[in-house]
Amino acid sequence: MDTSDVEDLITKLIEDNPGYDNLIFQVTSLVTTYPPPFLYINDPTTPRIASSVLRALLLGCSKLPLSASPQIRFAHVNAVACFTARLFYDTVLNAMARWTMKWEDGCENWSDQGSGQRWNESIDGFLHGLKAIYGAMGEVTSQKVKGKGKEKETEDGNVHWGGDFRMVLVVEKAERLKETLPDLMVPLTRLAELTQTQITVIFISSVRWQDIKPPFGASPGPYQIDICPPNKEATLSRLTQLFERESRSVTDIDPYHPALLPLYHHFCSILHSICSPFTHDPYELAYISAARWPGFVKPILDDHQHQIDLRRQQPDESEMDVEDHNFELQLAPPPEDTRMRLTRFFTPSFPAALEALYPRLTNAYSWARENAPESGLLALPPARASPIKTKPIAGVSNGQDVITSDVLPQMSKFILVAAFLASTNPAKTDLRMFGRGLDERKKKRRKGGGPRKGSGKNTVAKVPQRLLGPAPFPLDRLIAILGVLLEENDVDSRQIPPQFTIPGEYTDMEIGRVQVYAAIIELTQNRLLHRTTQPDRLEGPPMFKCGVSYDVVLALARDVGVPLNDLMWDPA
Amino acid sequence: MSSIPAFDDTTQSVIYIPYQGLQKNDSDGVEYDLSPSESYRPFQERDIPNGYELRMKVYRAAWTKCLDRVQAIIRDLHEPVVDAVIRHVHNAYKDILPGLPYCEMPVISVTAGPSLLHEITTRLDPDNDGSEDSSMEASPPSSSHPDTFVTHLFPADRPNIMACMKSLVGGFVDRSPDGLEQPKRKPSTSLAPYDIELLEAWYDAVRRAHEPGTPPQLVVLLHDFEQFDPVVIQDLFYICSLHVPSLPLIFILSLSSPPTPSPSYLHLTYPRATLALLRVENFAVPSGPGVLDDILTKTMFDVGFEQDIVIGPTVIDSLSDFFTRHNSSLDALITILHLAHLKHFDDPLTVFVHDDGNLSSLLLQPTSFPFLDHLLTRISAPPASSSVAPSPTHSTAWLNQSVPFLLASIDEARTGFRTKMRKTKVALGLMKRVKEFMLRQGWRSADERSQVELMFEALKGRLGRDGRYLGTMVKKLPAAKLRSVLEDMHTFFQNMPSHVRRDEEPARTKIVAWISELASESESSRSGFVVQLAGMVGGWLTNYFQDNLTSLEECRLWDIWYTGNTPFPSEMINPNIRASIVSGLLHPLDYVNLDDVRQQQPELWELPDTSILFKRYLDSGKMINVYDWFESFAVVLESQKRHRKRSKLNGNNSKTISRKGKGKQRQVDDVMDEDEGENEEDEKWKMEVQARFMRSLHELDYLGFIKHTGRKADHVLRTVFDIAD
Repeated sequence: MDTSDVEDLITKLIEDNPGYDNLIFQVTSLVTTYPPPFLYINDPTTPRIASSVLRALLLGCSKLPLSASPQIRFAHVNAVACFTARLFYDTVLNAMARWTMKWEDGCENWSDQGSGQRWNESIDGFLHGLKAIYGAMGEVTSQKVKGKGKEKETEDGNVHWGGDFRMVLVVEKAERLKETLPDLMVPLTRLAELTQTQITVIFISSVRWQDIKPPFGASPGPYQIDICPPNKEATLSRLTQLFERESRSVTDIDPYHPALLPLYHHFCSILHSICSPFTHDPYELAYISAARWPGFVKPILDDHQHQIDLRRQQPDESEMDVEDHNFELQLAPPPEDTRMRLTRFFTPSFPAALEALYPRLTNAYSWARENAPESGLLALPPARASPIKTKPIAGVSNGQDVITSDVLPQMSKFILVAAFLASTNPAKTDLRMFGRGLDERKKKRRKGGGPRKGSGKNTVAKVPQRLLGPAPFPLDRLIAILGVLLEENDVDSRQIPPQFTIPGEYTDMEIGRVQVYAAIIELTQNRLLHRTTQPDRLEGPPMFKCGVSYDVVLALARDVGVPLNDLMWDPA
Repeated sequence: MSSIPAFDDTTQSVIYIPYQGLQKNDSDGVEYDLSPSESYRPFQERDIPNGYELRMKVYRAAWTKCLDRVQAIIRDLHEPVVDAVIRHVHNAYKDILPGLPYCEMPVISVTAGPSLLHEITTRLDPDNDGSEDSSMEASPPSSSHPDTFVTHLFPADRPNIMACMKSLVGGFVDRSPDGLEQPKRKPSTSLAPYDIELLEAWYDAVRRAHEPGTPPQLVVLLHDFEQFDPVVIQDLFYICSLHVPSLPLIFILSLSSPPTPSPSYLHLTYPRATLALLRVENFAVPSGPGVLDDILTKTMFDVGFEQDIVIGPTVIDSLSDFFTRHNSSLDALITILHLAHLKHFDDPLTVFVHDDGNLSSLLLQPTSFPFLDHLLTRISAPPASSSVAPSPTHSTAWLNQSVPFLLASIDEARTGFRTKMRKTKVALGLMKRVKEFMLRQGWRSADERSQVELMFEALKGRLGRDGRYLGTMVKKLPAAKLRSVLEDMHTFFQNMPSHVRRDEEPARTKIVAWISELASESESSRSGFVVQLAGMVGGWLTNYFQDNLTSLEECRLWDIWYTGNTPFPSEMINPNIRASIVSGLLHPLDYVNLDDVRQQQPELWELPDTSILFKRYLDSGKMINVYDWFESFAVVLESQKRHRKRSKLNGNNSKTISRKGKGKQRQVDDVMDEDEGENEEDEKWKMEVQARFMRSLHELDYLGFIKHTGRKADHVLRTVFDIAD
């Protein structure tokens, strides 16, 4: 890691972080020479990686010898983590001063020579703190220089020791500063001016400077660096790096054995070609790869293990031979035909992995465990080895519907169906849809599924509500539709007390029960319904929106015996 | 009023106002301070003195027994889930998939109630068992080195990220890392208490204290996760993920929603950017009808457990209906069982549920005679459905019965009931066993009744047909299968607790004999002997079921131990809100005096003010003129005043009348009979009428019966129509 030259450092950093050449080159050159006081790095796709690159960069710079660059101290803070000004000041000052907190000392912050001075009260204290650190740095540097007896001499212990040491403050997720610490935005961008020190502030953000810039030109314009989304080569080499990082610790037979690297290259290019239309983030690709790769190479590893076991079992061979064979049996990259078979076998599972893992419907660990291929795959004839596992994909969609209907009580299912109908049907159609009996509805229901054409030819065809997302509806409407559903589909399963003689009277009782309201609240808490009005608003009925999809509702409706499509104004 | 509940506290979802009785009103001279036990005395005419308290004592014992049983079953159900969670917590930072681009933060989402969480906490952190009580979190430091440190976050008091971080960090660092004295932190010059760096420093100390062993893990339990503000939690997760894995944080989320409706709560609420930081693992306790089956079978029909009160079929029916239709939570189940127990102890006779020797002296007191009378009638009456003719001495037998004799016969009835119940349990168990065996043999059955329904039928004594059918099926079995069914039955009896097994000795010996007889027969033969034997077994089974699966109501004094067909008050736990309010307004007196059932409708003037106003409301049109409404109200009050005056002149006790009014009316009643100062009185009366009108109007307004439009002066809109009286 120790590099003695800026050039070396840049080369090494570019090697480690493919795709970030521009950033590394610019920032390193600037920081080690004469940086502008305020830099703004905009990385719209992968700010997390940019931030880690910058951290490595500054760490490298700060370790450079004095012959190559001025002494550099830096603080890397996260605007989300520093949600109060005090937290921000503490974090920055402690990092700048390279101060480690000790639990035994009561986690004291850095203070100037143990004076116990407090820097975190206000921006003013913070500026003084920075100055104090800058001053201390000057003293340390001058002493060091003196001790080493270099030719560069100083007149006295002057604090302003020229341009040979600087501070760098990196703020990650800078867009959050606007919300959490709006008062700090302007001072931060003018920090060099305010402290009269050599300090550079770098903001990293996924939004552009124009969007978070304080009004009235209060901040000076930054030196802006834009980062392009990583291209294919950069992404692939980043994936390869992860592989190499893992294979460094590998000694045994393992998916990350160095011999498998060529196969991994191949694997990654397939992965990239399948997933790149959906995500460019190398981390996401690496996540999917981490889940799929162990299953992908498992047949090869199994085969290899099998070979070794076979050799061990052969008794007639001498000791020497066994050793010889072990030597022969080094894990080797698979031949071309095996690679082709594996590719054909596993390619369909890549989109499945993307579908399940990109939205994190499951985590990589469980996905890898569930989707591991059965052993002896390579021994199977190609026709018998089914290319895709149907089980996990079915588990994503169908399985969940079944579980939903199992978990919810009967009434909650009815409420969700009613909520879906209230959210998709226009309110003015309610009387037509629900106002008459079951048989009539079948007769008079609108023919066909398409939207009714307007009278004039030039009217724009209306987009069905189903595609527009759920519309809000008042609680009363939900209860009324629930009443109709219960009256038509649930009456038979109830024992109606004898005092209720009018048809529908008992349903009226049912829909007003405490548990119905409790169920609505519970569903709202579980986000299966969304409440669109504030809970503390008393006037007017509360409004809700349906929070479950058509497929789920269809399964629920089937479960409780509601003909959902007959009740929808615009059936699918 | 000792303590005023904090009504303004918006973080409380429920406020409990204990009933403390009405305050004594001196001017009235009427004692209103009735404790609940005095105001509610059902069947007082045939109760013993102090009967309520005695029954409550018995009830408490019976209910505790039942509750303990249910909770033990629930604990058994939870056990595997708890184990899985604990295992997962311990391996959270060990089982990591290689090749991940960054370290994910382990998050465990648990769908469960507080009892499960409590169990998880006690298992994870046995030293610091302050799971529900946040004040306990700062309890004295544990001397040993725990594997995990647990802290709790509750949604109510964590409105922003600062408070959230503060309690997260504080929950850990308040405990000393090495069991020594905590170093003093200066509030101004040290790290802020909500700074995660503080936790880092603390954890460093912990790691040093644990050397050379493995350092502990930090578990954060988020209770009622749905109630947390997603924005806050998003930041919380982000901040914590920056410090993983140097801080081995593990989050346990307690969700009330099931994890699997696609997509789950987490996926619906949190953005992908947050989810990408986490490794979410879902755990859910079993729920749904299966759990209901399990719990009811094990509390009601387990031969190893003898409950005090047997729940009747109607309660089971309401329970399963409520559970499947409205609320499938275990709390609801327990509440219903609780209510059924409580209601059962209304009957004075239930004081005999347990064998209590101290009752005889109480029964000899003169005040207990109505009770004794009733008891004697019940005991001497022939059992309702018995076919045995009463003995010739029956008509005179009661003459020589004494209290000890009565008690002895109750004891006898108790033993009889218990035996009968045990036999029913055994028979139902045997039936299930044989049926399962037959199903295993490929026997097709259209019977899709669940366990609960079977129990329902068994208690109703309606399983006779099933028993006969099973018997017939057994008759047709070949030798090999007959042997295995007999062996199956034998193990069933063998596995029973010893006291039950002793009772079933005849059945067991029969089965053993049959098995030995069969042993000599060859496997596949269906000789005459086997047919004959199968016929015997089948016949025996039919008879056995017939004898033992009969209604429990055939026992003497069954209603002491069995709730039978008494209806379950489901309206009490799941009322219709509007119907209850309207009926409360229409018939207020039915709610006030429970025991005093009136025959005729009360006059309008007898009702409380709000009810009077409401009656007039029902008479009006869509819009109500408030002035007219007031006028009509005043007329009723006028007549009320007249009636009261008259009744007072008649020398009637004012107490009975003033009982019906509301608190405020009472004070004025006394003043009314003054005749002097007519004018001043008149003025005062008018003021009073107006005040009472306003008060009642506002009450109706609060209840939502009035809508103000502002379009027409002095008019309000009705909101409720078509009330069937």
